[in-house]
Amino acid sequence: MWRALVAVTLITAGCSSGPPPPLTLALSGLDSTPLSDGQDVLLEPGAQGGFHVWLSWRAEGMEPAELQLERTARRLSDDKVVLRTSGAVREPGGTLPMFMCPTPIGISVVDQPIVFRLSLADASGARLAAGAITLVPHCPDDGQREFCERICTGG
Amino acid sequence: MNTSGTLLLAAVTLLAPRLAEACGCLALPSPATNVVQAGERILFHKDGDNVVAYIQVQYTGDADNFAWLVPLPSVPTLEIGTDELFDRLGTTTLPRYTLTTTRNFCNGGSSSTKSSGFGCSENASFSGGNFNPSSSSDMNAASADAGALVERSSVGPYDYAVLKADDQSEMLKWLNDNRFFVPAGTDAAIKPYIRPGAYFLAIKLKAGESTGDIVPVIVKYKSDLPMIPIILTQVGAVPNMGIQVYVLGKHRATPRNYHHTVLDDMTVWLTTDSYNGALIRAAKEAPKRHTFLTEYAGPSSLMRNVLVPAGRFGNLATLRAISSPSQYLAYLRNNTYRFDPTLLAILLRHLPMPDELVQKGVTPLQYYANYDSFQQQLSKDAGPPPQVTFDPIACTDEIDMRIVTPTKKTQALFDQHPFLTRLYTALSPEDMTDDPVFGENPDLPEVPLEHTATVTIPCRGQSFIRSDQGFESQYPNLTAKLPASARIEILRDAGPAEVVTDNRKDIGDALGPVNYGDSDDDKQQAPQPLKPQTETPACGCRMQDGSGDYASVFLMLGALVMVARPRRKRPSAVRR
Repeated sequence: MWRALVAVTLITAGCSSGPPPPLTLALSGLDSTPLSDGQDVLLEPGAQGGFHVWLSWRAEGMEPAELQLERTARRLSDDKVVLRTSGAVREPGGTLPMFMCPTPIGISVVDQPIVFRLSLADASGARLAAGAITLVPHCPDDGQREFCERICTGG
Repeated sequence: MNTSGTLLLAAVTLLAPRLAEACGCLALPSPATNVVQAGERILFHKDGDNVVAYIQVQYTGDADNFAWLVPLPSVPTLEIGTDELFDRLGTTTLPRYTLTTTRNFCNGGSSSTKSSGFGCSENASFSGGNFNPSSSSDMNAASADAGALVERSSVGPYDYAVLKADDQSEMLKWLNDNRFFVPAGTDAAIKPYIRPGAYFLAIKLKAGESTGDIVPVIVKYKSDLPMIPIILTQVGAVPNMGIQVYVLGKHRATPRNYHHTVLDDMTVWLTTDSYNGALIRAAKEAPKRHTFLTEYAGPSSLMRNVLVPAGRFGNLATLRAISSPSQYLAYLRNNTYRFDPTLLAILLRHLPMPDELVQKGVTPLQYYANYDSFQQQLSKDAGPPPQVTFDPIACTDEIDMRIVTPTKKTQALFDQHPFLTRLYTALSPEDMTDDPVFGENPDLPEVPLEHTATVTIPCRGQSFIRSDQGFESQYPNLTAKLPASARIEILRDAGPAEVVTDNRKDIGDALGPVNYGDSDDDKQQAPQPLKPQTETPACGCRMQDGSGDYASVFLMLGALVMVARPRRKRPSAVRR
């Protein structure tokens, strides 16, 4: 069954002066609203006619440096990739739209549990921390519903 | 229409006849006005959380009628780019088709000739208009009672406005009130983009600007993935409108919600289809007619030093100190400044053409390229010309701001992003129902520019061709009814391509059995059994500047000439 919340911790590689503090990555909703595994979320109208799910992230213990934030979304039922993207970050947290729709061909995200994973890596690609949460996106119950269902169901 | 305008229209039309509006909507002055946009090309890259889109609008028509709408998810920043980017990208990433002809002589010898690649001329013959030097954005915040208006400003030759897209009627009213005209059909087309928190960018030429001043726009906005708002483009789009997309990133770009087609290169080698015709046919064969073809996917280093090779632009301090117009123009030429519409417009402003020459129909390009000759001619005709007032500092400042700095900044993109993907599709208005979005897949192979085939002329019998896609046929073979797609597939953000339609068998059947003829060394020359090369994606072949159609015919003719050459008589001594 769905477990409440969300944090996975990995530890950076050690150095001669002793291991650095663990880097923890926590996920939440817009405005840091707590999210729980399996929670229903709205597909928010967004980028140029698309729909997305808002996710906030915060890395505890992140020292000022440029790190790579990799984000993926996979459908729980079959592990199909809905989104995979990455970018450089300097701040220890932020809020990002997880691009959902238009969905890849043949992959619906509407009412489907989607596993969102965020991970931080250093310049060498070594993973420093990761977090994951499963959310169930739904189309909004307004004038956008029909359009949402058309472009979010992989048709 | 003046000469300048005519030349510009001709140049634009010749250079990009099948490139099309691909991002946003060209708004027209009235529903009765015909669509006159010649094309558009887009380059996307990510910058942190932002998508950056370089958009080249190719438009033919009156400057007063030019207006352009782009839906955006956030308030954008706007800059002016350089035309040269797309010209250089187009030629540098153009697929190259090379046909090798091998002739097997009956005495046991053989010879090979190669006809390769497609040339591509550069657009050096634009003429300029009256360019307004303002290239800095005059940020005028919207007043509190401005309704949909968020920001109104200007950049380069453009006036632009950022409008809230949460109320359609309010936004359209603002556009109409402010002469950003909206064509019939826009109401329905913009509906998907009307929502709280969304925005529209509306652009038009400043009063007094000419269409020669239309330069690429760089739009930067917060978003995850690049998207082309093609639904809006259906307003005024023409059938089979071509869309050229370049994506810079870490990995090969993929069409997320469109299929992907691998062109059947045998349509290029064998049929009388134009390249564009083959691509359009391939696009039509895909489900929903939604597909992209990858023309190149590989290192972006292909473009390194292409825009700004070492020494280009010289030393601006030196340029600022040259007060002689003749020497100033010579310095520009010697340091490979491109006499494109942007530079010509700047020169027209700082070093105007004599009215006498304008009236004679001399173009700005002709004038500045042959400045000394024209000055001598004018002196001969009417005595020494009046002293020309020329401010090299002001002129150079503008050249720096409008040309040198943007070009260097653009060149740096290819150092920042290691991978470049070039994609193409053609869509008709009725098919513009889904906005294409682009992702990345690190698991996909590169797509090279080179495409090869070999025509073998045997000692006796008919020639045959073998392509690098693994197909072979008698040559020529104009009767084969070939599908234009070798494969139609789905590209994900990870993993290999998922093949939806594999036409290899149909293509093989259509090509028919091959008779390899007869020669002394048949054993050595006979092709090996056909081996499908599923891991080597093919790519489309299309001339970005419109000469591809001719190139294909040229190539075919070249090959046919080889086939038609009289065979060398075999000495009886070696006849078997």
